[in-house]
Amino acid sequence: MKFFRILIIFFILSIGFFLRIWHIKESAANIGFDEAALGYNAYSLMLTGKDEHAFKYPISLKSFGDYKPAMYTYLTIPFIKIFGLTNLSLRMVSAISGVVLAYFVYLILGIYVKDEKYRIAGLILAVMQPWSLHFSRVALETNLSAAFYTMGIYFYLKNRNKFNIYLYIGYIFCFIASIYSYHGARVAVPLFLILMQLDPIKWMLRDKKKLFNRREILSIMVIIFCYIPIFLNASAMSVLTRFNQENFFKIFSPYAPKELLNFPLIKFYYLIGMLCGRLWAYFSPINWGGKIYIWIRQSVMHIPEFGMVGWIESITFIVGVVLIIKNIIKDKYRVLVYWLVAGLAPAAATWNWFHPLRCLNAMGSVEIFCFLGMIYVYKQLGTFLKIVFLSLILIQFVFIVNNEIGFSYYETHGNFQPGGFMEGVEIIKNVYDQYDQIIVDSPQAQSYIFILYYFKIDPILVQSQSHLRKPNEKRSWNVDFGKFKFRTINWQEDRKLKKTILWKYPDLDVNEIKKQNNAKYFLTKHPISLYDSSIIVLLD
Amino acid sequence: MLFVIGLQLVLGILINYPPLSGQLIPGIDIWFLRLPILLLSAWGIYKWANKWQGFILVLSPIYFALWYFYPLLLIELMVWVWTIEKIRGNKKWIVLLVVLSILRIGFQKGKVDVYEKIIPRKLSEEIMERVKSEDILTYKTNLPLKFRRLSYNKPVFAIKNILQESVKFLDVETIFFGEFHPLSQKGIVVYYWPQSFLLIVGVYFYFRKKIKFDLKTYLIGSFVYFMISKEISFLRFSILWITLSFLIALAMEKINKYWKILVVLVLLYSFGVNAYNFLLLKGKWFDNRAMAMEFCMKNLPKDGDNYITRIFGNEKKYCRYYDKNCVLNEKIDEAKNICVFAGELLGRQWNNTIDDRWQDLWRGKGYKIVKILQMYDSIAYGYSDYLVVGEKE
Repeated sequence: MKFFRILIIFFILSIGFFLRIWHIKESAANIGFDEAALGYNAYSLMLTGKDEHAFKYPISLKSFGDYKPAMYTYLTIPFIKIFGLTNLSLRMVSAISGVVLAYFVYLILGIYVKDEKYRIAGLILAVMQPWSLHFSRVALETNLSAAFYTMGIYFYLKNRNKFNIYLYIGYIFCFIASIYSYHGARVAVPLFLILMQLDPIKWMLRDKKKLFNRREILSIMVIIFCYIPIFLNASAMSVLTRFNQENFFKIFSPYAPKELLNFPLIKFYYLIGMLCGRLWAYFSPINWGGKIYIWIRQSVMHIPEFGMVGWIESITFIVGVVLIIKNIIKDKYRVLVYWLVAGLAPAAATWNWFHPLRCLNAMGSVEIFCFLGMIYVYKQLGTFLKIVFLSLILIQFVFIVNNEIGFSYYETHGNFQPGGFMEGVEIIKNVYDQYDQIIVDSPQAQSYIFILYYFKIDPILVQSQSHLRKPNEKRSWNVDFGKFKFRTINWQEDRKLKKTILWKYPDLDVNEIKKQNNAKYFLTKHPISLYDSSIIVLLD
Repeated sequence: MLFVIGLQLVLGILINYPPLSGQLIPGIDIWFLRLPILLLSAWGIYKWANKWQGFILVLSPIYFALWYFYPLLLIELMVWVWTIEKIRGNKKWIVLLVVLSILRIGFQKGKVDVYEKIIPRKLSEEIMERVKSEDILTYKTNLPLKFRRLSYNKPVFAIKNILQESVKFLDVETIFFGEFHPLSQKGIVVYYWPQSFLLIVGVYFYFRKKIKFDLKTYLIGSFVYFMISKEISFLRFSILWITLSFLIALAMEKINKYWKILVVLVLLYSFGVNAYNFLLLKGKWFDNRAMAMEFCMKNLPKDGDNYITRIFGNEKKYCRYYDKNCVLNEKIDEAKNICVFAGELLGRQWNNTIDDRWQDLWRGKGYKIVKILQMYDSIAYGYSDYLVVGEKE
């Protein structure tokens, strides 16, 4: 029986992994600039031990000045070694993270649900969630961080029941790995552990049993100690760059509408309201199941037709919330609340009302809320309605797969910065030696990173330019290297150049190019076959 | 409760907002409608609800909106609540709920969001759109046709659309946090945001204390009402407003007296903030078409040859409300006095902009500008935010 169970789990996880890499070449065919940065830096570290800015084995990648946690990059190196620098190798860590996360959600679900068939159903649901499928098909540090975080929670809970040194070290290690993988975890991890120690809900329920666990306090101290290298490796303010850019305290000050500022305590009232609203936004089924805000639509977070979880799950999420409140007196249910709140806190402190990527550390608990609600609803139904319910879930699965693999890229292609880079490389590679310079004029702020990635430019050449690297007024980190120059192309002037390749948005009049004897042009394919991505003009 | 009703009345008098088109009775002042509705609803709540529930209900922002602007809706709600109460006693009364639902759909002229999304023709279009989108992708995945067909068919899309509509129910943002929402949707919240925490406490006590009260019927009633309504978003939550009041009031009942005092103070403060907000930003929160019409009627000469903007309709109804014998000119060019948006004389602009010299352009067209009102947000998009009373020279 145990063997059979392992076989089923293995089968489900294999399907999950397959769905995360199936047609990855076509959907998403292109990569985003953050993905390109992760991939190229992994390539650079693999070959030279330094990142593109010539920092030796960094903990945070300077990249576009956003100091990305470098864990994802390091874990990508073995895949680049095996498969080369390709979209598949770049996204492999994320794909595996998605499957690992789903498996640990299944394990944690075991604490709440004893019936194995419901747990298996929970595993299937976890594997098939739109957010998990979507984010696992993109190279995202957040996904890796969420996997480590969920693993940490599982080991933590197991260790809580009965002390075990391996589990103890396991959760400390996973939590540290999580904070080294994504900024948000740097808030979520300590907050979760502190909430578990203080247990404020228990306090509110007037249960004054012992509060602190010495071993756990030690683990908090160890984890906080591990923050030191992050700050030593890059200047403290640089690490906080992201928070400074995104936190809502700065953006929304003075919080209340200016017409109302004379009312006593109004700023405070609005400030707290805004913070609570940002937290409560994650309890709205509409945000989980369908509303797509503009900042989501314009990023790789965009999951067409869905918010994060399935439509049925977003409704049962509320049932789950009610069940948890009902059972809040039990320790194991309060853990879920603390997990959720700690995971959401980094998202709630930023300006966005609802931000799928920043709440990923809470997704394990969200899924458990959904599943508990789902199981409850299922148990209430009669046989006929049970069949209807299961059919609905099955239909939703098929829709999710079609949606994510077949359709999603139609809506999200712009967010992966197509720009013709991938296609243009194939054209230029064949004639590269015949030209002295390649001038790139792209609307993408960080277009250089795609050239580095797709051309696999020698990292030593890029590192040698590191002293010149600083962002321009458009926050672009473009830098000239080798034959590549990044600047605006003026056709009337630049057409006179010799042995030059011009690469730009396809807004040139091709008839003019045709008239010029020494010029020929190529149009690169756009993800939507009706358009072109860029034009490449070869001036002999 | 009586104290809060008094506060509501004072707030209403201070705001003194003109009636919406649905409240217009020619020759009868709006307060002859508002006052009885306030008293009737207050009496209904007093008779039906317990102390805390009554307090919670009459304190909420949506209650103000209902008695002040949507009196018929408030009466309809009372009928719905009466029906739900009956269903709790005897399931046969569901028939009445069905009748009420049909009536509501009838009043909306058959327009129901969810129904409009499951019309077969629209489903076909949606599916075709999706298939076309996939077909024009350069990098096609070419999933097996049979597999695609499993989800690309009318029943699945109908289910998808129904579920997508259903998830809007229990939208905590519209219920508690509308004023902070970044999309700044124009609408009044159902409850003040501090009450969101009382709701959690209420749910906790509801289960822990094993309260013998059947919330299920109310929840189902709220859901039905939500799904069949095609109102401004917060009004779709009208029955849910009543349903949640049970839980919020339960929390008030069960917390200790110190917490009670604190919570009441916080809620009264919230009421104050909300009232201040309404007073100072009424053009933002309320339907300002009424404001526009009032401006026109007060600034156009009585018995004059007048023309009023027809962009959002009901101008004749408003005219007769303010003056029983009012007659309007049908043509802007022929009228002596006009009250229109600045762009109506100069032509529509797609982005609602207006030439900086528009006042000169008006004079050039032979109009003297008598008075200008800048509206808070655009109710005549394309024609600018300036409502102008002009006189032909």
